[in-house]
Amino acid sequence: MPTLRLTIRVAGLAALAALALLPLPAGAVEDEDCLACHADLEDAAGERIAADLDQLSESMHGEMGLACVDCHADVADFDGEHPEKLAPAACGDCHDDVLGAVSESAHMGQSCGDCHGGHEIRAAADEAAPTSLFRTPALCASCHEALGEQASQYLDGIHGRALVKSGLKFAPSCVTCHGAHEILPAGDPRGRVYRTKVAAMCGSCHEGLISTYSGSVHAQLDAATGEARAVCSDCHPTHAVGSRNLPAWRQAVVAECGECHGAMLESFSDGFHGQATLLGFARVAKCSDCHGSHDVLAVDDPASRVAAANVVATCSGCHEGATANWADYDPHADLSSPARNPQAYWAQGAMKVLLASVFGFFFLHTALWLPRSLVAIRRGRDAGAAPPARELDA
Amino acid sequence: MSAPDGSLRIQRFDAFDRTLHIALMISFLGLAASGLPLLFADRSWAQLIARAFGGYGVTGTVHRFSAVVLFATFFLHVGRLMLGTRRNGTRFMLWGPDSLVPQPRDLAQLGQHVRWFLGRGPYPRFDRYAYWEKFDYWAVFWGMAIIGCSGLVMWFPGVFLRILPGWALNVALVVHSEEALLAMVFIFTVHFFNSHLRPGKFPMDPVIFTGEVTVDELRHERAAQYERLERTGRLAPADGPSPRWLVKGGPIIGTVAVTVGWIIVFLTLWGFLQD
Repeated sequence: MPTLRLTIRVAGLAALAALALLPLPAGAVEDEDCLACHADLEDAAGERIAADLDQLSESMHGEMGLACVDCHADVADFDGEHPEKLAPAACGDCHDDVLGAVSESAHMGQSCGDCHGGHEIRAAADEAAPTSLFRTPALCASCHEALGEQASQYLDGIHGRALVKSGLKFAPSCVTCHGAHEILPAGDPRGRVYRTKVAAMCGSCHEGLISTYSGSVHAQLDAATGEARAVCSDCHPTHAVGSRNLPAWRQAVVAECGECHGAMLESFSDGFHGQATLLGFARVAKCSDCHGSHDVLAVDDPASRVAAANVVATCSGCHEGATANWADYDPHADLSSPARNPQAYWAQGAMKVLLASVFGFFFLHTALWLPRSLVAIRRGRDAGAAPPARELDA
Repeated sequence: MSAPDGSLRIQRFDAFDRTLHIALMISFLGLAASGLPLLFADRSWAQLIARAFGGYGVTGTVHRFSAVVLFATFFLHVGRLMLGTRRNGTRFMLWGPDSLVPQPRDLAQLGQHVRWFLGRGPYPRFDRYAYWEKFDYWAVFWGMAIIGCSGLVMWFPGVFLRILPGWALNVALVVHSEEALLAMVFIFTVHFFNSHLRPGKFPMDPVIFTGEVTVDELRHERAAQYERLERTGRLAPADGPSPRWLVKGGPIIGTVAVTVGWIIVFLTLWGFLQD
């Protein structure tokens, strides 16, 4: 409940601001004390020391009337001189819950200002804030572009395009999935994007798919790992998540299935559908066109689209007017298996014998003919035709 | 018709057969070049060829268009044979020295030819069609039937699977691919060598474009045919000169065919070595 959290935060800050207005004990540092030096642009040595008061006054902290020393707590007892380098702003004095989350997150050690900015700090609800919905991807990318390709993959994916290009407020930014202060790597079981939590995470927006997926073979728990056999991110590239209608995704999904179903990908690739797919034909049948996608069932499940009773109807999805005979076609034929594909196996065997005999015979024939015809020509016959005249006459 | 050097020239192939051979060459090369990428679909070079054609769709269209041309060639050839049979009777076509039907003489001449290869005998007295030429002919004939039928099954599964069982599609793909490999490698190596590239014919035998051979060539290479024609008084000159474009263009078409053919053979071998 961000609004509630904000309310509490504003209330807390208002209380602090009220405290700040109370008469301070003698010797307490006022903003004027700071500005005695920091209003100037440079100090005597030419170092920039100006505090950007314009930025501060426009920021949420400025609007709340926070004093310099509320954040720069280590100069609260300033008596004319302070260390050249101040301690980091004491954000945790107010935002202690947030500081706790960050210190256990992947961003532990980063300063708050790396994301939120310094004097110009604004609430995430403020469109100008770097942490606002539409600007978050660019903010995260400022580090994560260098760390990996996630940011550009996200921006090219359907989520990134929806948010950044189309400006859809319900499209997810990085924070929607990964969280903000509590962010953890995908491999950390405490994190929001850990494998076992992915289906629920995606389902929080893609609500209509939850029941479909839950009934699929992929949602069943694997006996060995105790986890679902496949979760959303096992099939859909996480950052580059695409639309199923895009030709590129139609091509790519085959490889995604093959990550687990390697032997099936191989036999698919040897068949017509697979060959055409590999050559870039997006329309020809892919795994999901026959097996289904979110509702995929095991092939031995009678309700599966490729079960004996349903397979002709599945073929008819593309091949209008498919007859009962179509059921005997094997799109995953294994030519090395006389048990699974006897006809194709023996046809292949017969063709291999034919090829071996023809090539065996004629390559030997040529190997004998070539040297002999060279000899015949060297022995000298006028027009260059193969046999020397005297051999003809012999 | 006399050659420039004054020697008599004899007709070997008439204009109809030469035209069909050109149609056969072009459609076969089209089929080979557009089918090869599918056969090695997982190789990057295959995907490159498909893209060079203009994508998967265009590659498929080229393949089917070439197939239609080849079907037409096949039926024109068979149709003409039928008409010839009605006019001249079957005897001429099915048996004898002018027939392409394999006969005991061919087996004997294979033996004689091998003895000549080994320097153990004289050059055989071939007639109009030597045994390897008959093999070439029947290999193409059989190949067109096998590849044509299996190709049609895959092109129109909706029609054929009303009668055939579904596994016929699996068999069709196997047979189509293997027979295509056989046809491509055979034509581009054995046929090219036997008819064009072997010493004595190198770089090519133009007879398939000009239709004519000199009497001298005939006497040396096909002694039996030469003597038969001479004995029966049929050693007549060819009907007329081939069109100039055909005589000039023949070597160009031949060079293109050999180049494309060898690229395909190279890619095929490479494709198998990549496995």
